[in-house]
Amino acid sequence: MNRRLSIAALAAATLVTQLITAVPATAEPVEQADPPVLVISGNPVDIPAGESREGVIPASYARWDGKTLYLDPPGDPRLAEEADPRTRALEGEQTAPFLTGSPEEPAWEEDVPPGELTEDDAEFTEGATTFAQKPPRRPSQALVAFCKDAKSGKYGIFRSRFVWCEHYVGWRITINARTRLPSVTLINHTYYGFGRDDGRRQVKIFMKPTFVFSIGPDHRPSDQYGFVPACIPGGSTPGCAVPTMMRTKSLTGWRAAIPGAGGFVSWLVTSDETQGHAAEKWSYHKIVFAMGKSGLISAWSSTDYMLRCDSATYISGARQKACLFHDVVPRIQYALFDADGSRSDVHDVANHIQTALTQPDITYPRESHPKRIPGKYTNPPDLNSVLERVAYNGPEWTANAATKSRACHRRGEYRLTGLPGPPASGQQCDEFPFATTVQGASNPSWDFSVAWVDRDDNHQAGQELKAFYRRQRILYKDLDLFYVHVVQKH
Amino acid sequence: MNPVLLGVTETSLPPDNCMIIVVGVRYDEMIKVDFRNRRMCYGGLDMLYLMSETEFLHDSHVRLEAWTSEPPPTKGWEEEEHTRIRLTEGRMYVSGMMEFAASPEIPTGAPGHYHVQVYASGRHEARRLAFDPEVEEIPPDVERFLVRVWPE
Repeated sequence: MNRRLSIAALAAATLVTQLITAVPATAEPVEQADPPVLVISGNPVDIPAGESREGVIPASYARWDGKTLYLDPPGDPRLAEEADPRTRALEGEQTAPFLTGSPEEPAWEEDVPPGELTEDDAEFTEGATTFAQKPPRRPSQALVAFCKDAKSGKYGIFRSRFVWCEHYVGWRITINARTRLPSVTLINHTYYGFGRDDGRRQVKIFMKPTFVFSIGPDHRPSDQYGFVPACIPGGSTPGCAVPTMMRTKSLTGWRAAIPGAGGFVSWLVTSDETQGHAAEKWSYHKIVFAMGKSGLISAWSSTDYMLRCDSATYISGARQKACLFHDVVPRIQYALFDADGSRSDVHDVANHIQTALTQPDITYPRESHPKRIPGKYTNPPDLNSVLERVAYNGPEWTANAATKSRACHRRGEYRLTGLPGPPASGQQCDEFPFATTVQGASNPSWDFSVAWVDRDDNHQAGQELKAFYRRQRILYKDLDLFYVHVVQKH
Repeated sequence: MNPVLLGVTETSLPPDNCMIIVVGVRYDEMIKVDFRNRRMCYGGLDMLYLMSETEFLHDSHVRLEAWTSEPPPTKGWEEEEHTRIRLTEGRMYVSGMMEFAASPEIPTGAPGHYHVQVYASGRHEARRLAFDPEVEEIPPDVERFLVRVWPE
């Protein structure tokens, strides 16, 4: 279904099963307008006279043609077998990837306000391209424009793990008890979500209406409609809460909120650290959305969204507590060339990684078997070829570094197959996968590559990897995964 | 006034990608530097990089000193460089790649800009040993840094 068309045309939906079973078994079918006013998954829905149905649905699953509201919900994931968070993230990435770590990623300065620094600090802030992220006062117009035009995936639209949005339609249909004429109310709206890593386990959700439509004998401009997110227990860990209430306005009020840069309502979603797991105190929380009339909610969105909150001390300093949107996969991007065609400042490392990922058999150390080196970003991503972070100076890191050293110096088991030397002046030995990964040189299940690269490129690439781990909040081992994407140009 | 030593701490740790990181306690983001300058140290907001000469596994020794004013020169070091840092809060320590504290904190004085003096020895010897076929591992602390900071 064409998303833009559906947004323009309006739409809506909710828990289909709940809707259908909500019809009393004894109710007499009511002859309604032809064509039917509501069609769910291709099936006309009879709404008894005097009754209403309502719900919310991602806009890409709904279409209003002026007479009939067509809803094609993807199914209730809470009724299906629960996918683990990593699998969900891969599905999300497949449908709505984002360019993490990419210079193409604009700085959402209004969305991720930098720390307050004086002009005197300019010398020292040039390199501080992002500081700990926290929600803005309201979404910027740049983000609103981006979300308006972006293609929504299975779990919405991602700017990063910390900035998310999704378009929704809230709908309500009432069949008049006497005339049996339908009344239809549609409220298109967009949710904007902001994770944070400034030491609080919170996500802030904003909502702004984009279109309000109402027709029929049973609606009034003063009708009160409310919106609210909620935590759901299925597939989640405990500790999630939305302490703020439903945000309610009249239809007139919601319509008045559409124009301009304001008109947002917001909620906080919080995560209780004491209910987290393991050393990182990690929690996975699912949130859903709802609309209700006069303070009553009959159904929640059938799509849910996964948050991950943690208190990992190795994301140190002020960032030891955080929540992010988890339904997308991080990847670090290295470019071979700058936009002007000149050699990038990570050129040699990018070139080495590209060779390792695409022509592993020509890399050192040579192997008698076809080499398999993981970490290549593809879409769809390959769950069997991920990279997972390990601790600096931990046992895996140390073993990886020692194995790399032997391969670079043609020692030990790599006496005949290791990297030929000596290096040219200004070169260093680079290894891939990174020493900071489970899949590094000492991993017996994977192969690796070493190559002589420019030392400045090596330093720059290493610094970018450290920054990537911190900015994208990559947790150790199977708590996270990431890929490497080598591109021609920034 | 004569310079007074406010605090000192030392530790040994392996550089990662040739880098050792010293931080102010309020550090947040990595500093962006141009490595083509081939410096031994780079300073920025609440962060200082010390650059090793070798990319191979070895432990380097770091001694961090905080002074009230410029300390007297010291001898016996092969290299010396200077840079600046800004401390949001007057405490520093050697960081394990921003994943853990590799040394105790030392007090430095008031928040503000600090002069940084870095002495080093053994950087080139460590690299030479890395390529010596007779040497299995680079011995610990061949590469040594002395970092001295005082307020500007």
